[in-house]
Amino acid sequence: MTDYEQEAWGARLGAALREATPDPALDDRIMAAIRRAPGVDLSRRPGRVWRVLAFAAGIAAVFVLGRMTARPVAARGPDPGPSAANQPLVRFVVRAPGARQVSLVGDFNDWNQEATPLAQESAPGVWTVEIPLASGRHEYAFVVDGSAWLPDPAAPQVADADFGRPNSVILVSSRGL
Amino acid sequence: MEGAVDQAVDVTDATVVAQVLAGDVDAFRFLVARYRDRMWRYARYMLGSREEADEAVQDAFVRAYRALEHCQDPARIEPWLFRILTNRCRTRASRRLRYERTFVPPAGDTEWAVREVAHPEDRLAWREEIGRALLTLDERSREAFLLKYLDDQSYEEIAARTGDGISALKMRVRRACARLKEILEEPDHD
Repeated sequence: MTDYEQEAWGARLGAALREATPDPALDDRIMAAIRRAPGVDLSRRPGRVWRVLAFAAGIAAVFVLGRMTARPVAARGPDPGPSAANQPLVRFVVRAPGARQVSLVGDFNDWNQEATPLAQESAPGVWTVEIPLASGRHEYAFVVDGSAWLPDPAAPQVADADFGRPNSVILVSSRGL
Repeated sequence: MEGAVDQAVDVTDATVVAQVLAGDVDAFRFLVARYRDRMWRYARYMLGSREEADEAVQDAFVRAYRALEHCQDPARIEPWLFRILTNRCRTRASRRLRYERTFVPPAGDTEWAVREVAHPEDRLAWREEIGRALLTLDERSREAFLLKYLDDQSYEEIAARTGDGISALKMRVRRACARLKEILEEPDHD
C-alpha cells in the first residue's frame, strides 16, 4: 500500500466512522454523574487535620497493588458473575479519629460520596464498609466529612496519570485470590 | 442551561473552566457539549460498543471535573480531556482483555465486502463492519489508527497524547491500514 493509498483508505474509513453519534441523553447522564461526584474543592490535598491512618485487616481474595494502608479484605464466593450477589465481598477499613462521617468513593460507584458510607463498628474512629466488587482493577479513595479527599497516603503512585494526585488501587481477581 | 450551551459557541474553554472552578457546576456542560461527540466516537470504536463508550466518556468527564484545578492550560483543555479519555479506554480495554476477551466474529462468519454505501442502512452496516474489523487489531494499533484517521490528529499530536514515538506510531498506522484493507476488501465468499 502506497502512502497515497493509505491516506485515501484511512480517510475513507475515518469519514464513515465519524457519522456515528452518541445518545442525545448522554450529556444529561454525564452532568448527573458530575453532580453526584465530590466537588472541585474536594480535589485539593487533605490538610493536617485529617491525617488518616488506615490499617490492615487481612487479605484473602483481593490483589492489592502496592502497599496500602487501607487493605481491602477477603472475599468469598467462586467466580464472580455480573450480579452483585456473585461478586467478592471486599471490606474497606480506615482509621479516622474525630471524623463525623466517612464515605468510600471509586470507579465502582461513580465517585458518588453518598453511595457508600462507612460505619464505626469495632472501635471509635475505625470506619468500615463491605461491598461487593466485580473482578478487575478498581480505583478508590475516602472522603471524610464530605470535604477531605483521602487517597491512601502511603500508597505508591499507582493510579493513572490523568491528574497530579493518585487514588488507591485494588485488583480483585475472578478466583478470589 | 442546555439552550445556552448550544448558543454559546464563542465562550472559551478557559472562561468555562474559571466558571466551574468558581462554583458553577452547570457551566461544565459547555465542555461536555463541545467535546462529547469526538470523545464518544473515539471510545466507541476503541472499545467496540456504544455502552462501553458511554461509560468511558462519562468516566473521563467526571474525572476531568474532579481534577479541573489541576489542568495546566485551561485555554487548551482539549488535549487534556482526550488524554484522560485515552487512559480510560486503555484501562477498560486491558481490563476486558484480562477478564472477558474481546468478541471478534470468526473469519467467514461475516461477509466482508467493500461496496457503495449511499443508503443510510448500508452506511450503518458499513460502520459496523469497520468497527468489527477494528477489534481484530491489537489495542495500540487500533488506538493509533483512530487517533490518526477518526480524530484527524497529526503524528506529533498523537505522540504527545500517547507518549509513543512517531516512527512507532507511523508503523502501527500503516500496519493497521493494511490489515483493515485486507479484511474489509476481502472478496465475497461464494
